[in-house]
Amino acid sequence: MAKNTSKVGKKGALSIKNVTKIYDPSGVNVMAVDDCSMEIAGGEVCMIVGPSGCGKTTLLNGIAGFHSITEGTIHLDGELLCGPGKPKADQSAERMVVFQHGALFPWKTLQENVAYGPTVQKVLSPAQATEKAGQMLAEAGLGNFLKKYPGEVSSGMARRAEIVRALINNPKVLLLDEPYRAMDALTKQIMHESLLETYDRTGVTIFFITHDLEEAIFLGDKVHIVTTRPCQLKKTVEVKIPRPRSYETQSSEKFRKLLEEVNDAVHEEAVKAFKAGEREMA
Amino acid sequence: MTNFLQTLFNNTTTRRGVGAIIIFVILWHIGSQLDEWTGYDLLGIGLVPPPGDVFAAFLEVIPLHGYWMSWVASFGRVITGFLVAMVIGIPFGLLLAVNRYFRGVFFPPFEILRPIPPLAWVPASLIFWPTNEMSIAFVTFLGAFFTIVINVLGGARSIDISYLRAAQSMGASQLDLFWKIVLPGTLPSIFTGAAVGMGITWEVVLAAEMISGGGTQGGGWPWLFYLELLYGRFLGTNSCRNDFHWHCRLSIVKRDKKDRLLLHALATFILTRTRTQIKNLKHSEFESPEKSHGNNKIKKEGDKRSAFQKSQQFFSFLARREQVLR
Repeated sequence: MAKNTSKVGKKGALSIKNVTKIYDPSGVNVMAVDDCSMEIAGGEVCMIVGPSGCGKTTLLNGIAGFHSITEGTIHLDGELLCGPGKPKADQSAERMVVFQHGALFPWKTLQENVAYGPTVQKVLSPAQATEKAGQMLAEAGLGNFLKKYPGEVSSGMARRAEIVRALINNPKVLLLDEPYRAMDALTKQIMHESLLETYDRTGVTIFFITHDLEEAIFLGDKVHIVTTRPCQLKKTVEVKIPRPRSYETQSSEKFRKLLEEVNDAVHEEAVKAFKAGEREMA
Repeated sequence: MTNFLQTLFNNTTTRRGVGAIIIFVILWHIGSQLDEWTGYDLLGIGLVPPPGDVFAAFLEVIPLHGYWMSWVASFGRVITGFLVAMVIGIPFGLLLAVNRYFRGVFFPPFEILRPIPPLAWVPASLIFWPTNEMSIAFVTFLGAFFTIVINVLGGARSIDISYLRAAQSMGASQLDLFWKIVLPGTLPSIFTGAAVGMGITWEVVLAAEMISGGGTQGGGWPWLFYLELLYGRFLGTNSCRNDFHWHCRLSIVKRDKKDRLLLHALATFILTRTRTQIKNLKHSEFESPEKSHGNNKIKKEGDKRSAFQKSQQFFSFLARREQVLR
């Protein structure tokens, strides 16, 4: 806790201003993000909640530098990532992504996967990187699985290893795109505790996309509810539950009220998204 | 060893497999002998010699030096064609996958050439290359090349973009991406392509050897072997060997314009042979209807003679052509 607060406000403050993204795949303009603004303080856990296909991932891709943005600016710690004249942010290890379907290299062991970043950036020698990877994986409870390939471990372990692979690069921001989507409730609980533990240790800024409202409130400092396509900020709910949080938090009265509040806002958007989908199909 | 055999035969799958093969051989025997036993000829299989005869012929062939030489020769051709196809095909496929401009320039002609069956290349290949060996190796190369390239291209293009993005975020350069992500990500497809390509190579090499007339140093064996079996052993004669030797000598002759004439001769021969066959058919139908319905043995001997005559015809034809060329 003490470690965490000391880092808050130090690094990883994201400022997203009036960002618009228009896809133009085959002459048909699709507006994925429309004039979306949000401020994320350094060391904050920011949860993005919205209906499927609303453009959350597009926003994440803009921050990570996988896509260009059409309008607006994104700053990281006051530095321009992308904006007018520079539509696409550079891909950099200061913004690490954990992907929806998992992107551990299946031909490398967990240890080799984690050691890849420092080795390729040449900040550590291969031997040092391997050693550090081993340490960090052990800290995440994967010490017995260093030499296993991603296909040989459970999806939960693979996810944990992927987060370690991101963290070894000392990123300012961790971008997570529905990382626990396909997991059963029990594994999810373990994952949440593991992520909270990691967060308390590192204090990295987390930008987390999810559909799971309980997950959003349990993990987040702020929950940003976004509208259906085009993606706009609809409502921000602050979660004033002190850290470190434990699993019992979820049965508290406060938690239940927050859940109701978020649910109301999201449900409205979900209905809109469903109707829009019906119109598109018709 | 006995232990191994015991476990092998305690396995239901193995027993079923062995049983199936035995039943197949028995059916084969019945099918090929039905004619002698009952007088009714089964279509196709009725003409095939019984399994016992085939096995005896196989035993006869095994001690022959040329038989093993033909193995060596075919194996060499397959390996040559296959290795060259791998060495050229893998980088070519990867380049097609990673470079848009390269793909734009080379993919369309590649796709025009790809559907041409490797065997259709045999005549062209005989003309392109100075020796028979090279022509055959070229055809086997083509058999593997297109499969390998398509597999590598498909494999490299279907690599999950998340891998590339993750690696790039971690600071990988373009070169790192290629060696550390694209290449290992494509390896499964490379192996699939190689396995399928190797299979096609073996299919193609025998056909190419048969059509091109084989090659040198006993390497003409498959072709020789097939014809010898077909005209000689199967149908009761075994004396065209001299002609075959003569034929092998012919293939050693260094290639030049003569080969085009030789190809022409081959084509003409096939045409005339087909024509003769049709003529013979009409002949027997009109002139001796009682013969075809009568004693089977007489009919078979007639077939033997005509097949032998045809092979003789072929070689005298080639001999004449050779004299003309000289």
